[in-house]
Amino acid sequence: MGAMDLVYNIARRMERSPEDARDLVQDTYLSAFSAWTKGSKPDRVEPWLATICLNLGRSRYRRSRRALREVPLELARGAVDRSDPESEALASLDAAALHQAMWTLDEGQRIALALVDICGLSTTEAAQVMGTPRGTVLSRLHRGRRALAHVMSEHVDRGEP
Amino acid sequence: MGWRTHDPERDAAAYVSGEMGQSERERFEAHVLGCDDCWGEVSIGRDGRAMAEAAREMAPAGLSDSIRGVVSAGPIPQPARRRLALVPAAVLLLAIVVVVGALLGSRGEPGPIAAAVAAARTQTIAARGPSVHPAPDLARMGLALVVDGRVELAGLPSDAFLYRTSSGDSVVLFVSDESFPVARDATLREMGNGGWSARSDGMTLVCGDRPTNYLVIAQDPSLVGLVEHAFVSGTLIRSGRRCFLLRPCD
Repeated sequence: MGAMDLVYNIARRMERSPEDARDLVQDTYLSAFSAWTKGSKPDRVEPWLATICLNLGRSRYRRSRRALREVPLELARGAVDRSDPESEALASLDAAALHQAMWTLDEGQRIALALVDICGLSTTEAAQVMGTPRGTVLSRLHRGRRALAHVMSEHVDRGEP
Repeated sequence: MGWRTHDPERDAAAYVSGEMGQSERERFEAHVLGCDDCWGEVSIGRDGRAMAEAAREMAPAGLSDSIRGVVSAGPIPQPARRRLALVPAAVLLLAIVVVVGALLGSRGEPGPIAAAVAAARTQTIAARGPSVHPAPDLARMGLALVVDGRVELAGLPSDAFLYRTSSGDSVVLFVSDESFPVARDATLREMGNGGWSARSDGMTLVCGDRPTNYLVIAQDPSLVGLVEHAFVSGTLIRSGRRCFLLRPCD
């Protein structure tokens, strides 16, 4: 995954609208350049950009005081036991539903999924980006995966596109 | 030997993420066979991971261009941007491209090569000023000049000429009075015009030093060869101002 794609995917989990996500990507690159001119020389650019994007996203959130869990979907209640939820859910996935389902997760879970499963960072790198112990990342990652699977299973159960 | 701990969530997360070493993984798998809790967590973890991966998106095609547009638009009412707006926009964008390009896809390449590849990949020529050399005219080959200018490739001054075919393929020709460094894993060419060729970050590169130092980069190898041939032969390369090569103007 290219750097722009990586930053954009994180931004999409920090901002609800594509327009705001694009703004966040732009801010990330400008901040990265500013940091670079001040002598910041990262060993690996992906976690470095991810950290900048995450910090900027959180700052924007604090400024705007918007609720991150303003999700219209009523998908996240309860769990459904399924014998093979993956095949059923994946067969019926659509991008919009999946994106919305991601927003039903806690912020920490959503960011962990974005960093590890979407952007391909290791859990050690994700821990550095998020400023948390690796064990916390592992917990958030698993709970996020579990919640996402449950949400999408219910989505499929309802026969929504 | 039993499993060392029993933390189904974290173990499942590490296992599904592929972050267990071989021996650790084998011991965990042996444990999972007899542990319903871990079996269930691994199963649901795999489902969730597959769905998260399916949520991956590509950045919008015009995003890098829009960043350039915002930078070029002048002062922006945010502290960080106000500071940056004092820097000439072209220099700023070039620096972003060069910095990120040098750090990313062309990892391990010499700085100028990484920067050149990044510019070709993003089809972004952020000029610091007009090119020193006139733009080669490749119209008869079906190549339209999109943009040209003077750039610095990680400190190496060069002219850059971005061309595009009617089908939308792009190719960038860099011309410099200084030698380009040799790309990592380059193949030296003893035949023809000498120089070297290489693949880097999905792009094809050819470099030579006659009649002057040049570097051609495109995704399509045949397009690279075409432009190099035209450039070196000089038969098609003229500008409105003066001949580009040493060959006399007719």
